[in-house]
Amino acid sequence: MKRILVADDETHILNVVSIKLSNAGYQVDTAEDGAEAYRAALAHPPDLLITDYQMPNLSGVELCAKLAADEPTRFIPTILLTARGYSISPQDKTTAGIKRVIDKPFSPREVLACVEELLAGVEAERPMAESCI
Amino acid sequence: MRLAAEHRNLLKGLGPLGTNGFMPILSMNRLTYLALGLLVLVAATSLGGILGIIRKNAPVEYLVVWCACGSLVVMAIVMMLLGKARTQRSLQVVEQRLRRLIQEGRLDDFGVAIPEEMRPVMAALCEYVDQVRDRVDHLQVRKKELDIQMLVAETERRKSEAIILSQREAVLVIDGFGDLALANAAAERLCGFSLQDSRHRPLNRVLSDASLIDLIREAREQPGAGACRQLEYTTSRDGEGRTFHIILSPLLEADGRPGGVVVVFHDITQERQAAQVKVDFVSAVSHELRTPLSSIKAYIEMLLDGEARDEADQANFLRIVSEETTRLQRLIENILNISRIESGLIQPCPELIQPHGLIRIILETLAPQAADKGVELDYCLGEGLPSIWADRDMLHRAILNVISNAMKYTPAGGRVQVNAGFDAARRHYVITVTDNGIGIRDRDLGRIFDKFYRSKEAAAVAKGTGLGLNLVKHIVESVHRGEISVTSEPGKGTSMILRFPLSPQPKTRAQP
Repeated sequence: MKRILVADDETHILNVVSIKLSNAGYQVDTAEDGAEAYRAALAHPPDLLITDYQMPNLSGVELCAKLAADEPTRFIPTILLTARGYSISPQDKTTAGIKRVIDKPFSPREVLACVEELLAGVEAERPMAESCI
Repeated sequence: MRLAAEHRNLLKGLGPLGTNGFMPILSMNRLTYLALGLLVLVAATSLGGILGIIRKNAPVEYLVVWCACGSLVVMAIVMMLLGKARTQRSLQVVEQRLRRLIQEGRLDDFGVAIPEEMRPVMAALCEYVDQVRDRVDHLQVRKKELDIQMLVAETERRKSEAIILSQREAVLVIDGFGDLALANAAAERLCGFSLQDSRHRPLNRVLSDASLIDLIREAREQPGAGACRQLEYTTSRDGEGRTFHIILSPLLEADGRPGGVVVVFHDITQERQAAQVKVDFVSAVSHELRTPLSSIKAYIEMLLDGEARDEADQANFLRIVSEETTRLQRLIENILNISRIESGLIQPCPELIQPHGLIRIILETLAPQAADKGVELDYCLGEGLPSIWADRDMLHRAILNVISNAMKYTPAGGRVQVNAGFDAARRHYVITVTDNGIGIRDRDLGRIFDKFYRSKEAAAVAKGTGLGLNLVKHIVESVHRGEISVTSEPGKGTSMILRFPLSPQPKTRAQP
């Protein structure tokens, strides 16, 4: 079962995304701020991260940048779920390794579709990487 | 005109010797030729007589003839001398008259009769004087034209200078040599020089900003088709960044050569700041509205997609939608209230209120929340405090916001103290809310009342929109003519002081 980490300081958002992904068969971990999400990701590296941008202690972009800098969490595909998507520069996205940005208000269906697409991409890349080795 | 009249008078004085007609009766030259002719004739005859006498022992008749001829020669010589004397006298008369006219500085009637033998000379002289006078007249007319042109140019120069000097915007005028020609007071302040000391000095010795000097030099040396250049220029003076819209207008000489440049600095710093505030406001409003809207949209979609496992889940989803709708409504009301107060559209309903009663009600409301968080909520309300004129709902909102704010940024185990008292000196009802929470850094103190502003430390500790304190400030200062102030020390706590004047009754704004 794929493990997905969801980080958002808005409890309702956290809950609705968790329920949607759980109902789709994913194991969901949650965090209410950036620092907590970072600790959770290091403790149990997820297959995918969904994070808000504006959060206490550590912003979503800072969280992604820190994870991208650590070897065990470097290749975790990340979705940024935010109401401030316009303020994230392409350079930030690249540096932080953010794969997708979904603007709030969002559709849980869209989030699920995005998760499945990214995980499928990771699955497709894995055999190629293994064959290269 | 005056010169022409004087000239006419002079010619009149010369009588028939005008430029167009004189009568050569017997000039000095003719008298001389006649005398010379007679002299030659007599001399030849005398020579013949003498020769005859010598050769032929001529008779007495020859001697008589010779004597006669000799007499004629003497007469001719006398006539010549007389003619010369007369000519000298005539010249003296003319000379004396001319000198007198020169001495008196007059150009009018010659005043004396011109001797006949002098008339041709005087006529030629008059013609020459005519020519000189024409030339002088022409030159004087030209001089007058140039004087007028110079006067007009000087007037225009002074006008342009006055216009430039009276401009509020900074204006620099650079001449064709790249020297500073003129600058107004605003330009002196902006660029930090004194016109008195810097006029006609090379620009690179007047201005310190190399990029600005390059811009001006480029505009002066390559004026293009005389078109103005407009660009933005940012400078930092005394640590304060300022943005200018610069207009560089090249000046061209009459032959099209570059002749200088006029530089106008339009300060757009405030416009830019206002535009940024507007962008920030819209961005913040957008973000605050999107958050509850996200929940509403997501939970409704979940219901529609049958993601709720049971009826309890469905009820929970609906409750969240309802709560988020209320949150959205409250947010919109806050934004509207602030906007109405700022624009003067809100109409307060002042009544005589005892604020300590209101404070007690608010403290009772917040007590459970404080207990949940583990924050001690204490108060000390003075005795016999007076009533104040206030809008009850707004005052309630302001005090509630301040106390709940203090609780929000005070960690568990902390304390929030509410005091109310009367400042007899200023006749103010004073409410002080003190906490021992996270405090506020100096750099944030000046901005905590700004709309949507949240310090990094505050955002890390608790959620919020950044509207609460802005609304409090508006309620205290704009609606109740009171004062709000804050003191804080990071890590130790914050004190928020609200002052309300006892009288007079706050003015209510009439709704337009």
